[in-house]
Amino acid sequence: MKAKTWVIIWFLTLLFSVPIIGITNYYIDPYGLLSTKNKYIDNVTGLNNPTITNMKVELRADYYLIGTSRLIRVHPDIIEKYLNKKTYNINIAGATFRENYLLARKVKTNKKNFIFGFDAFSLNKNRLAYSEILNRVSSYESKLLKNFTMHNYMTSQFINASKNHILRQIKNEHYERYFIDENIENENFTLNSISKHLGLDNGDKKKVFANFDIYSESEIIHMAKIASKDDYFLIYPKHYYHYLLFQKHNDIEKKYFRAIQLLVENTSAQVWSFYGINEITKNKNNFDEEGWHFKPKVSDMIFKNIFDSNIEKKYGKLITKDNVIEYLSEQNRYIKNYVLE
Amino acid sequence: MLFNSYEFIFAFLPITFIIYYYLNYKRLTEASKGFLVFSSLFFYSWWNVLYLPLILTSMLFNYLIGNILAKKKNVTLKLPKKVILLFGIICNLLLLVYFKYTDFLIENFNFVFNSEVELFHLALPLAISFFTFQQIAYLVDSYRNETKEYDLLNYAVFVTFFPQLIAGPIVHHKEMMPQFAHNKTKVINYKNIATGLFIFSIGLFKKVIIADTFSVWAIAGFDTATTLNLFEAWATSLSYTFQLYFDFSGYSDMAIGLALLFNIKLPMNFNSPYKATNIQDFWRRWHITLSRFLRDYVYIPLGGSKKGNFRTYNNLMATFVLGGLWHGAGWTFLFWGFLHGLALSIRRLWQSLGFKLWAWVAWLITFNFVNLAWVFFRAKEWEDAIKVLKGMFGLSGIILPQFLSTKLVFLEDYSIHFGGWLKALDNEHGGKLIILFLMLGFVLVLLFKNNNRRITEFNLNSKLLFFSILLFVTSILSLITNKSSDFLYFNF
Repeated sequence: MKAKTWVIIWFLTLLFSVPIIGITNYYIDPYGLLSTKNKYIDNVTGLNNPTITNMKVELRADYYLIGTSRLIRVHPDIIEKYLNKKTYNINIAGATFRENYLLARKVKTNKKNFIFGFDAFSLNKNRLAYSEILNRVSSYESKLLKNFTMHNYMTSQFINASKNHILRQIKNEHYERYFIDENIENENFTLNSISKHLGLDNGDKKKVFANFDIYSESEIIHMAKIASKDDYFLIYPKHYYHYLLFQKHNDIEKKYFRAIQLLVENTSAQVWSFYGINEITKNKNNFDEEGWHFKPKVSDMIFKNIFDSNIEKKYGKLITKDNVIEYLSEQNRYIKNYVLE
Repeated sequence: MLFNSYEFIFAFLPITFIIYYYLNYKRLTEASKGFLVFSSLFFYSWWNVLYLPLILTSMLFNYLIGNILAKKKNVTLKLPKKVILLFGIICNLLLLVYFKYTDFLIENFNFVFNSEVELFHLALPLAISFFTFQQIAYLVDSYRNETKEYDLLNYAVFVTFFPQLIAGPIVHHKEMMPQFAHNKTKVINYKNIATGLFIFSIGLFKKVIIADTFSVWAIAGFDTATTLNLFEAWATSLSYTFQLYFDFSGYSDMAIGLALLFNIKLPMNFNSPYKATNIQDFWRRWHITLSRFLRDYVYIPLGGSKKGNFRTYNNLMATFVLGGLWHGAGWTFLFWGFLHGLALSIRRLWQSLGFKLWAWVAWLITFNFVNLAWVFFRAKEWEDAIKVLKGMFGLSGIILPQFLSTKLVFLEDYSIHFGGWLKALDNEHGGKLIILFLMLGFVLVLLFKNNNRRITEFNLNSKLLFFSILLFVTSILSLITNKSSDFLYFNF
């Protein structure tokens, strides 16, 4: 081959290959940006990538599921089914309140709505002392400042996701296999195993609740106030062992309840709580191996109870300014008096 | 501006390339050189324009001193040439010491005299170690009458030529100037462009895909983890060993490839260093242009190996301690240099006694020594180095993969545990990715051809065309996801 031809082909291939890759990724759409139909659920819900999160925010859905990894088991189609509104799940595994607040602000700037997971451990401001968490926060902050561009479809990660999507289709893998497997798995954790896992008896080895200290009241009030009446705050369930531990260690329950109270008293959004000891939170098989994440079947129940007006509301409670103090005191009392089975 | 950034690849480089050849095409040779200097200074100033006066002053000063030294009889100053040379070298070193070593000296002064002299906190001007060494070499070459022409514009091109300005290769005046002067340099040479694109693509891939992946584990092990078990510590040290090699050799490949686009052949900087079977061999293969500088301008002037064994060992130690200090102002760098000086002395003694080793044993010893020594080179503090070394010697516990627990459960009696064996580095993938990359690292450094051979054997065939495009496109796509990161040698 002549050198000149070699160089010309090099440049021409480069010129065409990158856009072709982008267009292919756009149509394969492994993350369900265009449609969640026939997409692998773990790609739709379980992603920790600021670039993809930013794409979702910039693509302007009607609703956004904001929260921690506990939302990995929430299919955005559930919300679409009840509200008939386009929804994206933009959870961040191990999210801090600062990240979720940032996402919420961005959603509201775009005049869209959110369903915000108001989680106890994301409210621990001392987690920001860890450099890897702070680095991730900065990464999200910088990505979310950027506008959507088509070159986001041209990342190696996107190519990888598209490739894996095709391979899984060839293997005829069920699109919701992740949820199906999760739902049928039996769990066998104990109060001690959870306590050990969280390092609650062991000083500050874990970053989750160690040195638990909640964000300032003004930050929580500000968060509460940016929400409109069409937004939702959700206090998602954990296995009840966690609630026992919240009372026992670091005043977690007290500080968390104070934050909930502030939220409810200052927001015009609906606040739904699934906190407390009940048949759902007592069943180990409704949660993962540490009782931390609720399973997809619980997520179905949660949203059915919120959005389906045709059923009797057995699970979860809408907390308002009028009942918040009473509700939280009742939870506190019940958990305190609960005799461990 | 980084070679692995969009602004460089898609804006700076094409614009510079086109204008440079257009000016040459119009036979505006001096203008094309002037433009190359201008664009190189623009490239340099991209980080911080405040550094620009520094490099310009240094360049003018050395040009002046070099010119005086090159004249057979000095009419103006009536000083011996040696004094002028020493003056030039001392001024260069003072500049380097001021910016690079002031805080280190103050810290040690405070420690010894229990004083509290405030640190200067000076930002290290980019590339100062490289352009200072290159210009010291120029002064010595001028003193030895080995430099042939003394035009300011040509000298400016020699110092600032952007492919090698920031992190080398450290070049000699005599190997660059004839190339810039040659008429063939001024016209487009498609063979050189093809070779340049090919080598640049390999370098970009080495940096963006390989080195930056290893860097995540090196950072986790050295900077984040508080303790490392045996496997984590080895994975940490090996990750850095590979990161450094792929980072710096990737940079050198990119520099060589870029220079080829302008028909300039830069000297090679790496020759498969991790294939070395002794430490002397290693230094003939690693950062070759720095080794050459240290040999020609430090080791030999100190007497080299001509003044008896004792002086030879002393000279080796002094050269490598200085080499360590050149890399950074810190005791860990100095200790790293000391270790290499010591190893070279032992190697010399070993050789003189006529001992021989099997090649694979020799390789194993050399590689492990280099790997252990990099721990000091990388560690920000002594504690970090000790943490990694403790782990490497099994003093911070041994954890095996969970799948071995059923067969090797009896090992628990010996305080060997199971599960989370590489947790401190890669919790997400359970260590599989690290093992895969480390294996890949070994395969690449031990079994693959180095780029010098690739350049010599380069053929314009479709296989290499496809390979080159694949590497380039993969790297570019990866750059979209991951922000371009600095090259490690930019810090030295």
